[in-house]
Amino acid sequence: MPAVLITLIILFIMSMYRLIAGPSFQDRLLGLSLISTELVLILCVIGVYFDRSFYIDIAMVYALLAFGEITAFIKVHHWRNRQK
Amino acid sequence: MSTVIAWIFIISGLVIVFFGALGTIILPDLFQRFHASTKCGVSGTFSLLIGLAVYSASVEYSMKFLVIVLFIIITTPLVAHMLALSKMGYSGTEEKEEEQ
Repeated sequence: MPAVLITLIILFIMSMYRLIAGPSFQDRLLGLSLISTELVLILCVIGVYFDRSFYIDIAMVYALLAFGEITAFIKVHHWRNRQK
Repeated sequence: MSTVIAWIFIISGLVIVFFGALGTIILPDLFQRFHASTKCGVSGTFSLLIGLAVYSASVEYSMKFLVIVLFIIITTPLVAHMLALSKMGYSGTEEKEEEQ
């Protein structure tokens, strides 16, 4: 189970490439979406490995927050392009 | 026996998420990256959380994993669809990207 955790952290760092070096705004948000999915997986693995139930509650709330966050970014980008 | 099944699901989920992250890095176009990221993210999460539910063997964890899987199955394609609409400029023509 620690090997799964280390592999997920390596995949997290791999997915940050598209967040940092994305050519367009949508590329960065795509990387953010994949990163938040992997962070939910990391929290679930930590909760099962250390047998703490509240990490999985945190993972549920984080999945909800990530959706609202990316939606808010897309709406703000749309408004800023409309005002030009 | 249940440990073997759990590890099969966990390792296949890790492999699927790995190919999703790899496709996000090496594919050349934004829409091909949508393909890799969305499909591999959803199915990898599904497989890995099934594996964790079998591994933990507790009803409480399994119900929470079920809620997380349902929510991610709904929202991840929705986010990719909104990003594709934002890229196409809500009118069907690809908008030119200006760097600020």
